[in-house]
Amino acid sequence: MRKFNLLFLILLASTSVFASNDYPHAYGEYVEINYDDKHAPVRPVGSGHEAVTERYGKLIVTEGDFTAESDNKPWSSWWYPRYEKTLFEDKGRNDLSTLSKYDRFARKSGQRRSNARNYEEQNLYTERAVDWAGLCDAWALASIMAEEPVRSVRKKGITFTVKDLKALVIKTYSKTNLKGHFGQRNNGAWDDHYEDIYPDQFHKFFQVELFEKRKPFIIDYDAGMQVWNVPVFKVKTKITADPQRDNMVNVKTFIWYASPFVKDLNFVGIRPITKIYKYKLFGRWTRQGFEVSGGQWMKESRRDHPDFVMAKPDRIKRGSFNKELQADIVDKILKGSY
Amino acid sequence: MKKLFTLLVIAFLSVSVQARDTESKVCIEGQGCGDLHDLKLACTDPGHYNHQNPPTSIQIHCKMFEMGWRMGKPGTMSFPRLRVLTTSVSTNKGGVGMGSIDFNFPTTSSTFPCPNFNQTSSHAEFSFNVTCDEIMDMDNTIDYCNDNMLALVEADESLMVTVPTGKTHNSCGGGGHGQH
Repeated sequence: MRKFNLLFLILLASTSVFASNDYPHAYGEYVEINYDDKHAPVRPVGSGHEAVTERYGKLIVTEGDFTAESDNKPWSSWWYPRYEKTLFEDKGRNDLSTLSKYDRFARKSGQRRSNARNYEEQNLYTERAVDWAGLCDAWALASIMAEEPVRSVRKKGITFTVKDLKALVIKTYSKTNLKGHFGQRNNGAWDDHYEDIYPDQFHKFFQVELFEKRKPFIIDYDAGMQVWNVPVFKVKTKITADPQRDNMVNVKTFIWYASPFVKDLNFVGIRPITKIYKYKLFGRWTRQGFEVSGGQWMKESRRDHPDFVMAKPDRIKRGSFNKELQADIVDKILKGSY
Repeated sequence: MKKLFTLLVIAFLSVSVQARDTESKVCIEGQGCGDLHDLKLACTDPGHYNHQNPPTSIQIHCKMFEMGWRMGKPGTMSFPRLRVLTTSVSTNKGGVGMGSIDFNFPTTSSTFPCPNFNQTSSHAEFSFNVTCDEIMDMDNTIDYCNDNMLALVEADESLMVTVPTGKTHNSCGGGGHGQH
């Protein structure tokens, strides 16, 4: 009887948790959200999901097609996965790796003990790293902050190709003081909210950063646990009032981003890729336009939408996880490569 | 180095009116690209590729490249005109051998517009995130690209990036004096 009472109490407690509106995703249970609902899904209070509109103000939209492109464009480059040896593997005396070249230059410049190549191999390279771990975050940031190296340079008798120069500048953006992104990063935890970043937050973000400020921004385009940071430089958004509901507008947004998948590591320029996001925005019509109170990803975008977004910082302190690599020496190498 | 999917599937679709190439490939970010058969096997039997779980973050890349022509600045063609005036005299009394005299009068040329054309190249590349379930339902990725990308681009050309190639076709040449 005692065991029965205990079991009953446990079941009763579990039921009350699952029935709560505060936590739509209770442990061990997936709550199906009705995507034909008339209202936006309820979000947990105080969770930070409203951070964009809290900082930038209310989202107001109007019907029509709108396109904006950033004033400066990012550049494509390889993303240097952690399981690759590209940065430090020498192919021969006349085919040195990027970091071996860096060490030679640094020693000739007075840094007698520069050991970036060995440091990379011993401390940062991991043969068994997860497939998605690499420098995509550093590259995305470098591509919107730094000028693109477009030609080889010869410094102190060492030829640095575009591949070398891009790798070096990217490495100097791998450890920065950059803080703050909008949208909670999905770490695969039981209480992560897959729908975040919510579409109304995403829409307000690019409305301010790209349409108003003409600045590129960074997104993690994988809503799951993996992080795939890319720089976005163009957005086209199509907004139409829903013919059946006056509290809703339907949106189709196209984004263009620079791809980190280039066949030739000496690639110069941008390889643009387009993604489509479909969502509803909920709210009410006012004299200024449609004032948005929430949003919901639709169709394929329920699965495929950004995880979080980051604004381009005005300034940043550069650094590298490779302690032997110094940004000021990299800058000396880069001179003349633009 | 992790085991990679090594085969690349490229499919080309040609359209007779304009040269158009479409290619598609299935890639798993961080692992490379492969053909659909390999990916289906990875979805149903991940152990075959020494993985515990089926692949995630599967991207289908649809790439379209198109060569076309656009109207350029029109030119003009001029054709000379020739006017001939003939005069003769005849009488009903006797035969008078009179020939006719032709007088040629030069006059203003006729000018007509003629079109010129500039060659352009357009491209678009879309990325779609798909699941193993969707991969298993596919016969080929070109159909997926046609369904998801081609219709969009044909309805809205601004989704493509179009640049002039520098090549032109001048229809003003021959038969007159072309100007543009």
